Amino acid sequence: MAGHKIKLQSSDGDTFDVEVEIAKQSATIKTMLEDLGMDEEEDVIPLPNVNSAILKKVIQWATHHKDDPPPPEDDENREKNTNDISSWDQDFLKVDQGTLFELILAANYLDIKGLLDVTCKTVANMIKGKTPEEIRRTFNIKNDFTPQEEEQIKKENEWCEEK
Amino acid sequence: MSQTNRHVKLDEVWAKLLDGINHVYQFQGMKKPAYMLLYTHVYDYCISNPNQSRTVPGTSRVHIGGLSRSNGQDGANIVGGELYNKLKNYLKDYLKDVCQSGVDLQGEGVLRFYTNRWEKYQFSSKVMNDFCSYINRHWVQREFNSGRKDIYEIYTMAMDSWQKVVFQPLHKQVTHACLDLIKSERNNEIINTRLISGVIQSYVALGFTEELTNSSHITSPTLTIYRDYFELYFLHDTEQFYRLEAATFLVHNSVTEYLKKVATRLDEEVHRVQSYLHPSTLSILIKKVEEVLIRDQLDAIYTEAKKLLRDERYQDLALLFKLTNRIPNATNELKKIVENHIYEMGINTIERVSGTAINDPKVYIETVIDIHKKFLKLVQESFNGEQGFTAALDKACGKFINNNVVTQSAGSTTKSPELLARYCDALLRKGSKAVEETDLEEKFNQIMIVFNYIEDKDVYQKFYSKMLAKRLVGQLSASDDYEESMISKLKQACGFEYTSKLQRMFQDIGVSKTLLTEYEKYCENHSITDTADFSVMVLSSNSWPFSGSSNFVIPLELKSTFNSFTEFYTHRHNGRKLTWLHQHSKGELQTYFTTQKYILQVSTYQMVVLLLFNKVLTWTVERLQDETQIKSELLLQVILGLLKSKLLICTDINDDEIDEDFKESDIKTHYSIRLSTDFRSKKLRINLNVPLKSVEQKDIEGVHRTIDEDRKMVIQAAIVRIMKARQTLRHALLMQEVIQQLSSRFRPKIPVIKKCIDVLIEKEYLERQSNEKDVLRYLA
Amino acid sequence: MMSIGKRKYFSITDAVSSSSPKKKRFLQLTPFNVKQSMIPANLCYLSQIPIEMRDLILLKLSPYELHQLASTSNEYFSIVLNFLRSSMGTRYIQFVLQITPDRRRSGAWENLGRLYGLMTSLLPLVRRIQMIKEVLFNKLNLSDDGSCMEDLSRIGRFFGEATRHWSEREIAWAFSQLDSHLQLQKKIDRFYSCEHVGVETQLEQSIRSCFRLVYFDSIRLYAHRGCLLNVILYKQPIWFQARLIYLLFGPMSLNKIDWEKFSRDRSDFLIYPNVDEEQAYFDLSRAFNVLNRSAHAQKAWNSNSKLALLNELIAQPVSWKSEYVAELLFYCGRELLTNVLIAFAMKNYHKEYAQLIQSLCVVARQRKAYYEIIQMAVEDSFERCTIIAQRNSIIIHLQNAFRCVTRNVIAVLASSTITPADQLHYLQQLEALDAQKAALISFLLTNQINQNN
Repeated sequence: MAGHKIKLQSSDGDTFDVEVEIAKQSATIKTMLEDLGMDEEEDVIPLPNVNSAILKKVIQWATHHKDDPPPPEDDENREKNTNDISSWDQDFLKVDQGTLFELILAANYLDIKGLLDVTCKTVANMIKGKTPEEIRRTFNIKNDFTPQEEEQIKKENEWCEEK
Repeated sequence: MSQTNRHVKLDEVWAKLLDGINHVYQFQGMKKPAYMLLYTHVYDYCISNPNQSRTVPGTSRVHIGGLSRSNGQDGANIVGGELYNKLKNYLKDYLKDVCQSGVDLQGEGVLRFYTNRWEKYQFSSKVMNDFCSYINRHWVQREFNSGRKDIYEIYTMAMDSWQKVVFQPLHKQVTHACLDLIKSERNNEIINTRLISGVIQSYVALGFTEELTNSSHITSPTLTIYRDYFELYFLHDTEQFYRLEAATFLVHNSVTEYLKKVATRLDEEVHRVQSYLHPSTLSILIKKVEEVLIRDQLDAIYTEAKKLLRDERYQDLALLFKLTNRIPNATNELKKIVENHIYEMGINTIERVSGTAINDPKVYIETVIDIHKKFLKLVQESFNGEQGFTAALDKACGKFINNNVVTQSAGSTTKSPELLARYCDALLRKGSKAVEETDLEEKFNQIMIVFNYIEDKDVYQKFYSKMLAKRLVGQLSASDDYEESMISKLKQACGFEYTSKLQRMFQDIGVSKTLLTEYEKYCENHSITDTADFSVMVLSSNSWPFSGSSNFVIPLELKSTFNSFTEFYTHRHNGRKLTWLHQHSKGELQTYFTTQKYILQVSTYQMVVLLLFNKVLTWTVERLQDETQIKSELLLQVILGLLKSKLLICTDINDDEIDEDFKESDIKTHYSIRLSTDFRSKKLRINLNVPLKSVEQKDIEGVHRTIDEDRKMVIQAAIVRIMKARQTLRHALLMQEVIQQLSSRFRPKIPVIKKCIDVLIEKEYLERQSNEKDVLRYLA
Repeated sequence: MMSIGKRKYFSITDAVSSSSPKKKRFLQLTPFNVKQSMIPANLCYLSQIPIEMRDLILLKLSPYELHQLASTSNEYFSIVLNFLRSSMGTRYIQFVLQITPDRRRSGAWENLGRLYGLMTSLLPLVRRIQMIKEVLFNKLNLSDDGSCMEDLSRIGRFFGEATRHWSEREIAWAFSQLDSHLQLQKKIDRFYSCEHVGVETQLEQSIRSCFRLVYFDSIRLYAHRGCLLNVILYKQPIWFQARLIYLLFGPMSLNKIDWEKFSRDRSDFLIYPNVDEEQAYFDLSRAFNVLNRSAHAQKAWNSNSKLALLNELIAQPVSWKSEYVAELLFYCGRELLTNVLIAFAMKNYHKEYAQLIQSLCVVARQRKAYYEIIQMAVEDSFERCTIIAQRNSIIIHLQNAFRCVTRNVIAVLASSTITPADQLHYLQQLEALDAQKAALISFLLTNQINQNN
């Protein structure tokens, strides 16, 4: 089966040849292949929700991770811990926020658990350790609280100081 | 606002999906691009988040107030519910049509219809489930998490719909058709099993819904549908079918034929489950069949077992056992039957040979061995060597070996060990018929089998050591290796203590040989030359079953030999006392008074008497006694033997008086005895050393007498040992322990143990506790 | 917008927001892959992705981080709020409880309490309590019948943190709302109808642990504590108030309220300080001290009413021995101590007054401190008595009280059942008491003479 390829087509019409084993990291593609079988004639599989640049990145990620052991089911502790991103993934995800969120959408669309997990962790890490003001700057959030609300929230924000 | 928007969108997306769904449920092939587009439609619909519109800045009061609207129902945040319901309704309508077209079918028709539609439906639903998987992943998951138990993954929902819309109205006729088909197969018709396996597969797949409320997973297969709507009826049918078959078949056929039929039936049912039923049915189905076909017919089967044993039809018995063994505890009765059979056969066989066997150990023991061999083969072949049956064999053998016609006519249970010991003796003596070494080894093993059944192992030991002593002293053993091998086997069976005496006897012989060569050297070194050719065995007195013999005046000719050896030995082993066992000694004399020189093989007693005639040619009996100091009754026997050999002549009796009936008591003390100077014989070597009959007879009686005495000692020793360890013990418990400890030697009789306890109390080893008469206490 | 051509699938999303003011922004959302410089600076991706994905991100944050995120804007405030309300939020909370090490003050329950404190802060009071109740009893399924001590403590820790910044009025309201679950008030009513204490031990125990764990021990502000205590004492007859105080804060032994503790004789009390009940003295004094910390309850609890309550308390369920009263008074502080003495002196309870002073002297010596407090209190109370007969009576009673002690000590020493070490202790105590008595009496006499002059 190794080396057997399928064609994936991005939203902007580019076609990518991908090894089946790599493509199967996407649960969406995997179940489709299971349901419909591998025909001789090669259909081009359209992925209308992913553009070329993102699809390229997704394929790059999947190729790197093709030999990973399958993630343990329901391992919430692992899921929660955001410090275990491999250095390769960290480098891989050093992208602008737009790309990062596009990757999340693509991972969700294609149902690639590992990629979804690691991208979400990356976003979570962008929130960690920041004050509300820093978070606002990071994500372009406009502070629209009224002064009274602001006051109320400030009060509640004395998290642990007062012992 | 978002509500209306969503409706528009839903209709839009539904229009796009409907084509694909129809396609799927009409079982037309689907291309990957089409599939991917369907998936994308669903995905796009779901991620179009209605809440997005609420996140308009500057209206915080509105949206916080808005929270109360979506109170509780959490899935409201996530899109999917409406689509889910659309799919559900679609399936309901679709399946109603399906059901309608099958409702009038019966028999194979309905099966063919059901399985066909089911398989296709299952596949279609799988495909639909997969391209709608986004709904499963998010909306269904959340609904489920927030506690709704009536929302399933789409595939499961499809199964649920089938169960409600198709299965419920049709299951009666479908199950019925299946059972009819199975009945035909049992009646040896060929059927299309695929029809049944299809239905079963469907029933199993539908099982998830029933217990869903208790389980935490969205799809967890249970077998409730299969159990309640198929298995129950199936088992009921099975029972009825086989009950009828058993009844009709046994009318015209033997039980053995019946059992053969049962075996094939069981195989068939196993095969049936494997080929088209659910594996969980196997054990319960087989149990049911076993109950009907075997358990309910056990009485007939037991009767048949007796018959088969009688007719020695071991192969049929094996089948019978195999089948009976399937029913728990049913073989217990069978074991009893086998035990009784072996016992009866044993008793009867021995009774037939008892006439000769009582005096012929070979006949007796080999008969026993044959019986055992035969039934061991039965146990192994027919009963798979199963432990319970081996135990039955052992019990039966133990019973008939220790108590049968032969032992009864001998009046004691100790006849069997005696005969066994004699049998061994015959095998181990020089010139025994069993020549082949391998053969002999085989015989030994058989002896050990019989030995293990013997209760009075101490009796065997007594006889065996007596006979061993004789073989060793008389140098009658066929081979030292055989002797050793036999002893080591006994040691294995009964432990070191049991054979220690035998082993020491064996060692003494070896030690004596080296002692003798040392003595010869000693003679050389001290230039002792006036001795006769001489060999001796030094036997330790407590290992050998010999008692000291009556002494006599050692004649001059032997004196120096005796003295020099005694001196040699006491010098080497200071403090040991040598006792001469003359009754076991012998020697050779050469006659110089005859023309022909004869060599006479004589016992020491005979030698002493004969040597006297070197001094004077005639002696009176009285004088002979004076000279020799041999006890008179012994002397008379010696003289009688010599008279019979015609070497001596009694002048007071006619020659022809000395015949078979002549007894030593007929010799009077005043008779005079003369050496027959004209003695003549055809042989040059004459053996005059016939065993003294009194010794022989006394031996056997002595053994039986000493056994009881010895046992008392052993029992007492055991009691003291136990009490020393326990200090105080109840009477009954002590009994029990004594019996258990001694079981490898013999079975002590309870009155004997009681007597022994009394003796020990008298000797103040034990006392009865003053407040509790029942309890014994050890006195140090 | 169809001009984007192949990307028509994104247009579905667009259809929703077509009528909303964000239309323009949404159009720009589509080309996610354009270079950083081209992204409008005011675009927030995090709020734009579908809920199910954003929830996955929120799931990976700690309560503190969620708290920070919610503090950024109205939009995020409601994002976090919706997240917590969803079944994903339930999963989140259970998960946090599972992985956070359970520490007091900053354990999972406190953290969640704080988070909910923020999340409810912009809501009207009714909804706030509703939300807290929903979390505790629906999402987390804590048992609310007060049978599980652990759950009570959890409720308390969560509640204490969540209500940190509430006003007293709100706290009092919260109590009445939570009580529809915990039923403390009903239990108190049942206790009221009990003729004897120490009979319904289970009821007593459950009232105590419910109040202490939920409404007192993990509440941080003294004002809140006082307020909550006032809520349950409010409108009760004074004897029952005192009984309740004893029930809630009094001494325990073997997991039961020890109702007889303070009325029991302790033979060696003269020489050994009693340390067993320190927790009880401390707790009881806390109750007195918080009562007037609450602005709400201040009116009800002036020094007179506290004095009355104390007077009632030391007769609960029967009169305490004076040494225990003395101990408690030390914990309660100078003001109350002085007030008690003044009251005794003024109301001509001179015998009790003298006895109490004598006990106070013993306790002061045992605690090795605060003798001055007594002296000042005595001074204050003595000054209030202006009638000479009163003063004489006080002096006589004091002398009697001390003489009585001396007599007792001599009796003990004579009984010769005590060890030489104890004997020494007694003698030292006797000597010290004598010195104190001498000092007091001479002080009082001087005072009286001055007065006379």
